[in-house]
Amino acid sequence: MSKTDLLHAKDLRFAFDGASEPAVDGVSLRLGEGEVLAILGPNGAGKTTLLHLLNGILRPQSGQLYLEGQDLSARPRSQISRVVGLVPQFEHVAFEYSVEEYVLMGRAPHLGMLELPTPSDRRLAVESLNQLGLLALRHRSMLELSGGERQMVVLARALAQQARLLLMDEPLAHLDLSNKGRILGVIRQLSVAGVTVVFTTHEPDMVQGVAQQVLLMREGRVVASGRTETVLTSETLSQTYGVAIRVLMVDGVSLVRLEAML
Amino acid sequence: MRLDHESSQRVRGAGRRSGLALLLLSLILLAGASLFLGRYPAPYWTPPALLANDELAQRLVLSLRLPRILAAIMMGSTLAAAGLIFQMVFRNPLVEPGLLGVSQGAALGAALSILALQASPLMTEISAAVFALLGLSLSFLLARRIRYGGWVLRLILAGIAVSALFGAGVGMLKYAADPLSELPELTFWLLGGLWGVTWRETVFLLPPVALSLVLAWAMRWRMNLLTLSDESAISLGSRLRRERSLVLLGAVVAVAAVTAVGGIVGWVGLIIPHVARRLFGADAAHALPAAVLLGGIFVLVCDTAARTLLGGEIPLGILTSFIGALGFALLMMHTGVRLRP
Repeated sequence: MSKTDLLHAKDLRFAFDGASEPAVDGVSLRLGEGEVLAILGPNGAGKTTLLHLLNGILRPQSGQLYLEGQDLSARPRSQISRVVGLVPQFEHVAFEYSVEEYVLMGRAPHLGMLELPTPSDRRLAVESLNQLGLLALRHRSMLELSGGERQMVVLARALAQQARLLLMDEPLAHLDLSNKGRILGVIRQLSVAGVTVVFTTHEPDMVQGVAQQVLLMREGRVVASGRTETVLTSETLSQTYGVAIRVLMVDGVSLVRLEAML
Repeated sequence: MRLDHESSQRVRGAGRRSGLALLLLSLILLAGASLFLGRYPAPYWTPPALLANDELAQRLVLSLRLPRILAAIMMGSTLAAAGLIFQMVFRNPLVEPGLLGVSQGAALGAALSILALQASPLMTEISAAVFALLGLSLSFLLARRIRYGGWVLRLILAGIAVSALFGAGVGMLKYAADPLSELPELTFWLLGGLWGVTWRETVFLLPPVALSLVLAWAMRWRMNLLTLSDESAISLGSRLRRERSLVLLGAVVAVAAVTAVGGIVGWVGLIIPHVARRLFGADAAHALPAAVLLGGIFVLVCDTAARTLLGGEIPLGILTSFIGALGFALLMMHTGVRLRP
């Protein structure tokens, strides 16, 4: 493997207890600094499980996983968390934390178990909110936010984590178009700043111009992977989703449409 | 923008800090006042001047009231802190610290000792402590064997099952108890109270309570992570199982100790955490010390009332429920009672 790889996964395989089929089966990928990878596939294809493997939340039953050239399973949890951040798809909030208190939890990997956040941690939390245009929400209760706002705050928490690799599980779900645009803009900015981003999505149209790489999954296996413009074709998408899909070229931009809708 | 942020941060921090300082001061003043509240030589007040030459007053204040006051504070602080921790770990604001078989375990232990052994108060305490820890261990063991749900749900289910089992045992013993001699004693124990506390009990309480509070204090910010989803907590660097078990065990051992000494005093562990969060926000860095102080104040006030108001002792559990429910309803009906801008 090359020295510049931030993340290198080889032939990952994982099956949940008692499941007859593995959730992730033979997935390999490599990502350099600042690269953006979009993972697409139908519900239950193993996208979330793959993200959990890449974050060390789940341990693969076979295959190898290297982060910054080191075996991931050999690194302590706090060290992994300083490098890899996760924005889960759903986040249940049980108590009335203020938005700022909540985002501050993103600093935990940089603090010892018995340490309190310092003023500079607080500053970083506020800056993350500012970066997403959420400063006005700062003192609001997490329980009063709309679903979309909450999703953005969880992203701010991950930004406060200052990870080199950010994993986002369906960051575009439940967002209106302007918030989708904002998230995609943030992903681009992060990429320019050298942060590697992996995100899952159900919207192939949202991938272009943001992700340089795409991984198509079905039933835990890779259908196709590689550069976005070569992977997103009518054939591969139809095969991934099991329905007829056409990729149309309009003014140099490709549009993904269901055959049945044309 | 930054200037604005930092100055407002300081004001908020200062508001909470002075709020905590105020609570600490109130606790100390109340404890001091409680030393002189009582029914000797006449109802409600023991004049401090009496201590100079009245030997009975000296013994009363130093050997009975002082240890009892300290025990009341330790009990309130422990129950409230444990309640906050339980609610955070189980991500559920309706959970109370006796949940994992501790309360019913202690009750069964005490009932067995009172009925089967006609035992002394000391034996009853020991038996209650042993059975409280037995209930806790059974809950943990059963949770490991349950093949359903995540760890948190399994623990709750196991706790409910073990509590019900021990509760059935307590019911059976109540049914079998001699209604003239044993039943009143058992009922009184089940309603909770600190009337039997001497320096021996206070010294017995000190190590587990101190250990548990120091541990909780040390992890007061970190434990916020435990309220997140598993995947978020782990991705933020928490070794979730280990940290969860550590704070839970630390809390619950102290709860077993105070329950063994004071019986089942309800309501404190359930409601004080809500009051603390309401006043100081959900961040446990502030809510935990607030719960410790508020719990101490609350049980101290209730216990002082329990031993002062009537000629006989009023069971503490009755007062905590009565005063607590009224105070709680009043607080929750007021909007904007909050030390936050």
